[in-house]
Parts: sequence; structure tokens; C-alpha cells
Amino acid sequence: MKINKIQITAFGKLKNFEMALNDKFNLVFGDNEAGKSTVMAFIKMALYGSSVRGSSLDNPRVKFLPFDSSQMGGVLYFTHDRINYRLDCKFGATPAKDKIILFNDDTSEIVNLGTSQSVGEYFFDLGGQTFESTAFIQSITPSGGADEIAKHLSSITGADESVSPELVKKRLVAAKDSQFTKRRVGAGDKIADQIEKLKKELQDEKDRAKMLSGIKAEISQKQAEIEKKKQRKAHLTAVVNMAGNIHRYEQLNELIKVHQSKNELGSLCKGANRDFISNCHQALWNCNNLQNTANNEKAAASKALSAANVNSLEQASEVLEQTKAQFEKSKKRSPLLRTVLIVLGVILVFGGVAAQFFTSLFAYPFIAVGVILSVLGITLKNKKGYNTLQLQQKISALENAISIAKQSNTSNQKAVDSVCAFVNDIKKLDTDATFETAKQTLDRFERLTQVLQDKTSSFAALSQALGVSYDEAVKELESMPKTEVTEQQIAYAKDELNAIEQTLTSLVMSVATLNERLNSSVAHKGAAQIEREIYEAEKDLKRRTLFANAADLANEVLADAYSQLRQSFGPQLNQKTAELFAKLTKGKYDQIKVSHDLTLTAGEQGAFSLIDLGYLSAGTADQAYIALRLAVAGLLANGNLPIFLDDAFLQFDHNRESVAFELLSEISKQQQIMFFTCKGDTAKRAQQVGANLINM
Amino acid sequence: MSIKIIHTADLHLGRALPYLNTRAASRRSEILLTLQKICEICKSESADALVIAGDIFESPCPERNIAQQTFSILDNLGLPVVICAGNHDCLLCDSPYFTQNLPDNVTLLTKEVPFVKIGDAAIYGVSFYDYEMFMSAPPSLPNKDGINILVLHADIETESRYNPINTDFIATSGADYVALGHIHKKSEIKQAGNTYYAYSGCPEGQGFDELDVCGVYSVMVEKGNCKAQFLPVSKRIHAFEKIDVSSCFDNLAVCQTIEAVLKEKFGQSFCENLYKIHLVGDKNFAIDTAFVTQSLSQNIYFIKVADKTNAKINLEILAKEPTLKGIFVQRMMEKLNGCTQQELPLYEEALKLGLAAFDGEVIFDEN
Repeated sequence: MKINKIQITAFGKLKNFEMALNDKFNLVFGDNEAGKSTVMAFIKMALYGSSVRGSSLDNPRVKFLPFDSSQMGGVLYFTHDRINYRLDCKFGATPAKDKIILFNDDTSEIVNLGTSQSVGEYFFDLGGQTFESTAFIQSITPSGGADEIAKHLSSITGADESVSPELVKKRLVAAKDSQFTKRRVGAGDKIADQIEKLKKELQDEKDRAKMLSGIKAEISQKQAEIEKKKQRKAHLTAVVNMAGNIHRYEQLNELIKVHQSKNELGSLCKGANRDFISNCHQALWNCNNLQNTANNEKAAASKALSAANVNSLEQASEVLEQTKAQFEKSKKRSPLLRTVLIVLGVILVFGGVAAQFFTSLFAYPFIAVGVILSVLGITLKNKKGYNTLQLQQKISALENAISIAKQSNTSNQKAVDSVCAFVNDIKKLDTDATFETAKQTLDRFERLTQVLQDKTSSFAALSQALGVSYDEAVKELESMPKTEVTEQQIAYAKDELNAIEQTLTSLVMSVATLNERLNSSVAHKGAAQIEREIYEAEKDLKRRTLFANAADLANEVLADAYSQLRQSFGPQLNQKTAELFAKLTKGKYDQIKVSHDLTLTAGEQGAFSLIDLGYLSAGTADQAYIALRLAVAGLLANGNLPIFLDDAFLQFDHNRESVAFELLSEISKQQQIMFFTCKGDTAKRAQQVGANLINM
Repeated sequence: MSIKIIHTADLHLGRALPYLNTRAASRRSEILLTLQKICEICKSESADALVIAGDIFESPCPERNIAQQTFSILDNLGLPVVICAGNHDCLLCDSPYFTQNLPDNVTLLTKEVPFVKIGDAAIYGVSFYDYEMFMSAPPSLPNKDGINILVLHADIETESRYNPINTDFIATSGADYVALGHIHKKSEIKQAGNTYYAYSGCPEGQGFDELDVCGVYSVMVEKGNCKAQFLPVSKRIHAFEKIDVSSCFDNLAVCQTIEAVLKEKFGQSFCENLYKIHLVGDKNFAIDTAFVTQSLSQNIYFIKVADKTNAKINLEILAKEPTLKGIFVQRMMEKLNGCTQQELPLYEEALKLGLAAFDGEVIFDEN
């Protein structure tokens, strides 16, 4: 592209301004504030517009707004591929209000830009930023140094003055890390963790639902069991209640039996009662006593009779009569002798006793003689051999024997009488009773009356306990139903009933506990709700995963692109830059290399190693930078890019500047050059190499 | 012989609504009030019964006070209410339907109580007893000579675990009207065989997949005939709008554009609604969606804004630049042209992120 003429109707301070250019080396000279930067800004706005917004001075629509606020605009005339074009520009307050029309100036037809969004893109296949960073060359600041160069170099290769490949990579890595990291602290990691948690929660919820169903089933089962147990309990209770009836039935029966037994005994006892039996016993006791007495007296009588030398009472009476007669006869013979002997004997005894008080030696013979004489007198017999005393004794014995025998007879009679009386009593119970059998009869009836007594007592107690009389008992018994349940069955029923009641209590408590568990459920998410949350989280995770994968992929592609950039563009750039650098330094430095870390190294001719630009003078470093920029501008857009330099040689001394202008003059044979300066010496030196001077 | 019912479903009472952030609690209360409003409609429409086709509650065991308030509202209605449990409020053992006392006028359709007779009509149906349900055949008609209204929570004509049915199922049911729940978007009244059926949709939207005005159906059911009228009840509308902000050059202008568009579409009361806004068109500046959202939230009940504008980039031209960005675009374009349909979203996203990385930090769009 070669710009032929610039017409500015209003742009910044320039109004109705016009500048004609040749197609080679143009030097635009003007003082500060003359409008050189405004011209450059207009060219850029015309070719690319401006996307800068806002009210700051970064926005060219603000910065270059005419003082009278008239509409900014102008016309750019240029030739490209031998076709003349006219670019009419009217700039509005916003890009949407811009009116930029490209005409084929040869045909006056409007040129359709196709998909290009700007005229610059249409002709150069470059974006506005790339155009600005390659076609516009300024001097780097003296303080910039190698870092500044690296920054500019980065801006060339990255087409953005603020971004390096490393920064782009860092941003993409950060983007990926914002979602997923090895330490699982990214937002996506958290969502993934949340999904896992929700899935577990879902499983728990499903398990819980099953558990609840299980509880409900268990409750139903237990309730059914309770019903069965209750039915069984009712049955068993009836059976056990029947046991009460049975017991009463038996008791009533017993009452009746006792009553009947009592009656039978009553008839057997024939009116015998305890008093009668007691009287009988008394009578029997008397009988025994009288018999014993009679027997004793009979023995005594027998003994007395024997002692009296008789065998019977009749003989004793007879002997008594005889003895009494004999005694009467004996009382009439020798009574004087006997009396003398006795008296003498007594005197001697007493005399002997008295003498004993004076002298003991002579008393005892007198006492002994006196005793002997007395005995002789007493024992002196009649002529038939009996003495009186003996007879008297015999008579007494006989009389005694007779008396005892008579007494014995009397007692015996009494005993017989009492036995008869006893037997007669017993005969009331047993007419055939003898004395011997009467005692047995008495014993038998005594037992009967005892039993009867017991039965009577039993009946009374039973009757009282059952609360019925005999007649009532009979009546009740007749009205009672018959049952076939046995006592054993009832016992079993009672045992089972106890067990059932325990089971029932346990079941009811168990059901209550289970119901409490159901009713105590706290609010919780349902599976459907959790599934929806999982669905939404997975959707979110999918987006984040796509984002992270895309960031990864972008990074991979970026690395490839960077590699390609270095491989395809780098060698040419190195070669071209070195060539231009050698020309600028008049061959002193013919080696320069743009390294992978975006630093420039240079070497003098013949040097074996390259040194970092930071070790060179600011001017030499600037020469390297200018060489690089010119190389880039030459390589881009097939060499069609016009080059705008804004006092780019400020760091150069006069010689270097002259050499540089010579180089520009050479380049301008291919690419149009516009050098803007406010320095008159610079302008003169440019003119010396044939630059077209344009004064502003 | 006729019966007039109010048909609703899917209230999802107790739903957390986390997307509403600080508005969630008040919105939950509003949805409960919507039930109250439905009851008022029952009275104003002189309906014979209120039929709720499932998912009254968000979960089988919601918070106790929510169930209590719900039953209290239904109790106060006085009219017969027939409820069929859905997959969300399925009849698990700890369901409030079991653990709390249902009002006398409320009939829960269960295995034990499969229908209720109201006048000449019988309303019958099958409740969910688990999170999933499959029915092999329609339940038998309870009222052979009268009107039969079948209440089901079901997915129609889709493969689903939530009681999938089809039009044959409906046609063979023999019912005069099938009141359906589960799908939150209302359907028109349709007919399968001699049976009419419809989804009432949810009465109150609870997400940006439940857009526009929501309400209930007032259905006059006769033997072999149905007349239905849709009655809006939703207090607020969920709306999703794509708004072109190509003409905006600052955040304030974006806010004004959004407000203008919403006002024009939803009228003066547009502030009462809930909006999901995608900003589209050309990207003129870095839109601060947080600022825009916050500014608009001063007046609008709920709004979230996502920047979907496109930077003015001509990829084909960019791809020709011998720059890193140009080569990156070129490589990405090659990959995009050679990728499968399945891979396309990944490569498109990678291109977008890569370009974004040249301009600044790459932030995941939470909206």
C-alpha cells in the first residue's frame, strides 16, 4: 500500500488539512503540537477504526474530538496492487456510528470488504493491534533496556503489547486450575465431591426408604401377630374361666357327696352321739373298776380264809363256832400261876431298870430274869395245848376272814351288775352285743360318730364357702353346663396365657417403639430431589469439565502455535534482522538472534559468541530494536505495509542517524516510509538521502 | 351429570430453591400462599373438588410445619380435595400423609382408598409408594355408569422411571378426564379415545426451566365431554431473555437496555418477576455482569445476567496473521474443521478461551 494523500476535514486540531505523499520516503517535519501524532492517529483510525471505549483520553474519539465538536472525518487516498482507492471516513461517537466507505477510485465503485471488519484487515490481513505494533515504530525509551526490548519483541510476536505467550499460558492454566487441581480445591473438584456426596446421600435415602418399609412391614406383621395372640388369649381365657366352673362343679358335687355321706353315717350311728359314747365309756370304766375291786377282795377273802385254815365262808362260820366254845373252856384253868409269874417278872424288870441308875453291874440280871418270868407266865398253856391267847387269835382270824369273804361277795355282785348295765346300753346299738363285743361296738361307733362329726363340719364349711345349701347346690349343679376340658388342659392354657400376655406386652411395646421411630422422622430430602440436585450438579460439572478441558486444549494449541511461530517466522526474522542490524552498524554487528525467551543477543562481526543487548550501549540496543521492527514490518503483509516512524532515532548520534536514513531510503524502494520528526537536523539528514520533506 | 374440578399439581412445597440465594425463603412462603390462592379459586369457580396430581411436597418427609400449614389450608377450603402422591412426595412410611392427621375433606388415593365419590363422579388414581413407579394397565373404573376422573402423576410418551404411560393407556382407561401431574409445563387439553387429559403444569415456576405464566385448570367434566379453562395463579414469572447490547458501551447502558426490554415485554410490573438474562450481540467493552446484576437487583425481584456477547473478531483474517494469536487461531480453525460433531463444543470453547487469554484472565461463566 502506498498512501498518496491525506485529507482531514476535522480530526483533533487538524481541520481541512491535506498532505500529499510520495510512494517512497516521506519525512514529515513539524514542531511539537503541530499535529504529527494526529495524522498518524487518523491513518490508523481510517484503516482500523478504534474499539477503545469510555471517556478517557485512551479513546481516540475523545482525544481527537475537534474543539468545535464537528464530526471527525477525512479521506485517505492510496494505491494498492496498482489500484487507486479512496477511503471516506466519518467517525461517530461510537464505532457503530462510524461511516467508513472504501471506493475504487479508478471506477468510483464502493469496495465490498467481505468478512473483513476494517479496511486494514481487508488489505493487510492483519488486526489493528498487529498493524499498530508493527507498522508504527517509535524510539524505545533510554531507560527501557533489554527488558523493554523483550517486551516489545513479545508484543510483535504476540500481536498484543500487554501479553506474552507465558502470560497467555499462565491465564489458561489458571482457568483450568480454577476448576480442577491436583489438590482438588477447584470449583469443579468441589462440584465433583458434591456429586459423590449426593450419590451417597441418594443411596442412603433409598436405603432409608427400604428401612422404613421394613419397619412398616414389621409393624404390620407384629400387629397381625398381636391380633392372633389376642384371639388365642381370648380362647385361653375362656378355657381358664371354664376351670373356675369346673372347680365349682366339683365343689358342689363334693358338698352333695359329703351331705349324703353324713346322712348315711347318721343312720349307721343309730342315734349314737358323743354324750352317749362318753356315757358308755364311763360305764365301761366303772365295770372295769368294780371288777378289779371284786377280784382284789376275792383274793383277800381267799387269803383270809386260808389264813384261818378254812376253805370257804361256810366252813369258817362253822370253825368259828367251835373255836369260840373252846375259848370259853380255857378261860377257867390256873390263872394264879400265870399271874404270879407275870407280876414277878414285871417287878424284876422294873427293879433292874431302877438299879441301873446306881450301879450297872447288878441291874441287867434282874431285868433278864424278870423278862423270862413274864414270858413263862404269858405262854403258860391249857391242858389241851392251847392257851387262851391263841384261841382269841384264831377267833379273830376267823371273824376277819368271814368279814372279808362277805365283802368280796358284795363287790363281785356290784361288778356283775355294772357289766350288765353297760352291755344293756350297748345293746341299743348292737342287740347281740356281749360284754366282750360291746367294747368293740363301742369303739366302732365311736369312730363312726367321729367321722360323722368330721363330715358334718366339712359340709358346713363347704356350704359356707360355696354359699349354697344342699338343695341349692343340687339345683346349681343341675343347671351347670358340662365341659370336656381337662384340668391338665387348663393348666397348659394358664401357662400359655401367661406366656401370651408377656409376648403381647412385648409386641405392643415393640410396635409403639417402631411407630415412634416412624413418627420421629425429621424432614429430609427425597430421592427425587437428590436426583435432581445430582442432575443439576452433573450438568454444572460437565460445563466446568468442558471449560477445563478447553483451557488445556487451548494451552496445547498455544504451545504448538508458539513453536510454529518460532520455527516459521523466527529464522526469517533472525536473518532479516541481522541483515538490517549489520547495515545500521555499518557491519560492526552482523550477528543478532531473537531467542526463544524473547531476548535479543548480538555479536560483532567475527565474534564467536553473542552477548545480551543489555551489555551494549543504548544506541546500539536501539539499532537492534529498529532492525527488528523493520524486519518484522518487512515480513508482514507481503511487504505491502507502509512504515510509520515517530522520531524513532532519538537514541542515535548523527552518524548513526544518517546510516539509518540511508537504510530507510533503501527500504522505501519497496515499502512506503513516513518518518515524523520535530527536529530540523534530523529532517535535513533525511533530505540528504532523498526523503520527501513535508512541513506541517 | 357433571362435576367441576380445579386441577393442579407439582407445587413442590418445601423446595430449597438455592438458585434464589437470599430470596429463597420468601419465595418458599409465596409458593405456600399460591396454594391458598388456588383454594380461593376453587371457591370463586364454585368447584366441586380440588384435584392435586402429585408432588405437593418436594420430598416424602418435608418439614413438619410445611405439611401442617398445607393441611391447614386444605382443611379451611372445606371442599373435597383429592390427592395423588407423586414421585417427590411418594408414600414412604414417614410421609406426613401417614404421620399427621389429614383433614376430613382430604382424600389421599391409596391402595386402601383407591377412589372417592363426589356426587355423580368418582375420582380415582394411583399414588407413588416409592420413588419410581410403573403401571402395566390403567386402574379399573370405579364408577361404571357415572363420571370417572383419573388422577395420575406420570410421564407421558417418554421413557421414564416415573410412571411412564402413553395415549393408549389413557384411551383404554375409560376415564372421562385424566388429571396429570409431573410435567411442570402445562399442556393443552388433549383427547385419547374418548378420554380427555391434560397436564396443569406447576402453579408457580420454581426455576428457569419453568417459564412464563403458571396456573391451574378449571375443568368441567361431563360424561364423555370436558371443558377446561386455564386460570393463571403464579405470583411471579420466570423469564429467560436474550438481550442484544451491541449498542451499549458501558455497564449503565446495559442496565438501561435490559430494563427497557423487560418493561416493554412484561409491562410496568416487570420488576416482580424472576429473570435470567443472556447479553448477546457485539462485545463493545468488558461487561461487568456482577455490577449489572447488582444494579438491576435494586428494583427487580430476582435477576441474573450472563455475558454471551461476542468479540468482534474475524477469525479467518486473524488466522492469517503471522502472530502467535494468528497461528493459534489458525491451528484451532484446523482442528475445528477436522473434529467430529461430538468434539465441536470442546474445540469451540478452546478457541474462545484461548482468545480470551490473550485479552485477560479467563473466568468461568457461572451463569
